Amino acid sequence: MPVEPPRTPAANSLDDQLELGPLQIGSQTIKSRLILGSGKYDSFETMRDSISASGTDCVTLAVRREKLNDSSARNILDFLDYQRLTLLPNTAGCYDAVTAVRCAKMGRAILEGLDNPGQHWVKLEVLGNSRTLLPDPFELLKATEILVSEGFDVLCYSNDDPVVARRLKDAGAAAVMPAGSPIGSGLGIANQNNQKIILAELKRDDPNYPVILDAGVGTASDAVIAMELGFDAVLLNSAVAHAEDPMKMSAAMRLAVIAGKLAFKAGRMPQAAYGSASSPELGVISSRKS
Amino acid sequence: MAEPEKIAIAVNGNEQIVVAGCSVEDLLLELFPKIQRSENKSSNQFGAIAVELNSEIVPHSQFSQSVLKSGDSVEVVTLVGGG
Repeated sequence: MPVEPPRTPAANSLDDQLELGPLQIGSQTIKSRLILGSGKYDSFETMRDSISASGTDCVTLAVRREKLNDSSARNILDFLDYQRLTLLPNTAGCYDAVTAVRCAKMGRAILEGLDNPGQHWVKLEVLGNSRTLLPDPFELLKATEILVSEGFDVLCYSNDDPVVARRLKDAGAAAVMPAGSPIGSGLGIANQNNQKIILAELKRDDPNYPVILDAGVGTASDAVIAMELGFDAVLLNSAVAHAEDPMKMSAAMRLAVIAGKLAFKAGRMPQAAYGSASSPELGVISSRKS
Repeated sequence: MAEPEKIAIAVNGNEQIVVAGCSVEDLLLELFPKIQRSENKSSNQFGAIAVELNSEIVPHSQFSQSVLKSGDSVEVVTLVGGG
């Protein structure tokens, strides 16, 4: 009579395992741990399809001057499902607090007109240098204080300096978003130790404070590493838009964020300098010992 | 019949000569035909734009009442792709 194999307990369904839970950022809640940028795509169609492949419910946009006397019909909003997505306007291109505050208010005004929940928040970028695109921490802090007082949920695009990150949180930022490396560089996380310190400092006694890796992600493994370190989400644009196949990379990023978060929640095994066998010592046939 | 008085204002960083007494709404209709033509996806006529007059946001409901003066600086902005 055939021996029945022992029954293993049914694993949780894949959906249960993949459920990461929503992320609360100030007054907003998003479901995906991947926030996607809408810039640098070859076409609006590629952008639309990449956003779809990513599974995200949050997309960043920039605020720019409307063109005078331009009757071309194509508008980015025709390619964004903004009834479903939460739009996150940025203040890209601003180099001082006053301009960034004006830009944030413009973004809010546009989204109020669309009745999009993104009207309550802003991705605050205040750049210090057009070649590196790294933030100016002094103007960034000033702008954060002003925008917090004006009722914005401020998501600060910051550098990877733990002191700056702490100052931004203390100023009332709804989230701090350290750069892994310069925008569009694809270098991933340049200083893992700094990021670990930032995460530990910002989440001390406040484990749900949102810390989001923003800038420099180049490929899926960068996103996995970020989530394994403990970031709550990853914001990326170039990694998808400049991939050879943006939709495929977008799908990879969707999986990467889930994989990294699950690994973080699973609690990784300890690391050691020496080996530790996975197969038992007892009953080895070999007579060789070392 | 007297020519209407013209005033010089700045629109999106460039000088524009407009009729004195024109409103923000008049300006939009004249200079931004795309906005005028856009499908009415939202509750307001002018779609996904914001107007800033001398560094202050002008609510859509105030477009027709906001009258432009000589030397005013107007920004008309919209959303574009960005990271």
